[in-house]
Amino acid sequence: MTNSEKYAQCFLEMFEVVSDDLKALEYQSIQAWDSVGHMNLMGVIEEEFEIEMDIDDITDFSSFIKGKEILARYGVIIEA
Amino acid sequence: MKIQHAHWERRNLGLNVYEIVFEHGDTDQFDVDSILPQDAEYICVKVPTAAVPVMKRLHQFGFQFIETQSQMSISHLPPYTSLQSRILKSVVTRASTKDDVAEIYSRIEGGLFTADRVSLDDEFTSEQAASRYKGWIDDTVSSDGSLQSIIFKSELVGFFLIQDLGNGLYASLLAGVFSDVAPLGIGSLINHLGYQHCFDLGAKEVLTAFSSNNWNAAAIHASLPLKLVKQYHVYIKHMR
Repeated sequence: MTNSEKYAQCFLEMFEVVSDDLKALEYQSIQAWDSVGHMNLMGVIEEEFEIEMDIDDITDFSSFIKGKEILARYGVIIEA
Repeated sequence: MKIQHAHWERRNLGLNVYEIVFEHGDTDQFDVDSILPQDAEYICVKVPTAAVPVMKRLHQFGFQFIETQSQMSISHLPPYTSLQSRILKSVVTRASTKDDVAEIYSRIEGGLFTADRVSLDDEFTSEQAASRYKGWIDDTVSSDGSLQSIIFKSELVGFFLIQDLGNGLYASLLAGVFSDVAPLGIGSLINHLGYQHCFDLGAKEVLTAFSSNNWNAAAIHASLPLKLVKQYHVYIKHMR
């Protein structure tokens, strides 16, 4: 499974959305991505990619797109 | 059935408010018109879930269902996850200063809370809804309550309100997050911080309640080991 597929899978499983929704997905754009959903998502992503993000990155992780930029700082490249 | 004149709502809402609380086993053969004073302007009725005859009777008297309140208790907290622990290293709580209270009240006046039965009711104004919260905080702080500010990296990002009920019992009454300055995800920790504060003060058990209209509160509490104490359906009627 590629990084892109793993990354997408985190959102798909956590929020029960479909692939077509991912690019537009932002914090609080759906009910499930609330503060609890955010913490759960961050935990799943850290576990999936075996990283530990800085607090600023966790609190800045505001969208599916933004998350790709943040993960790149940890050497996790999400292919387009 | 208990009837109480909610005299504090005269100050908060500018109305004569009465609260009626039913318990299981109470009769459904009541006549609201005859048991309430003529000066009632707003009535709030709490009915235990499954008391369907009472609910039907309230409909007959023109009452409208507005929410379900869940009263819960918690006697221990799960350990923080690694992620939560890392975030909490940047969080401190403190008794709200005068400036904090001014900011908290300003936020409330600006529409911080939108999921309570007054804010959601278009027969009330946002000023009435805000006044009710500020009055609630004032009353609580003056009777063994404590308003605590949540500081993230030196910035006030939220607060919680607790009350010592005696004998190791505390109440976690209210919590709010300023979403424009609070870091993403911290809302999930605010209640946790409130409960922890109560346990640090010696609480054996902490009571709380939230409305079915408040998705965020429900989601947060679903992630904690709470015990359901009581559930009431709430009906209201404007008499003006």
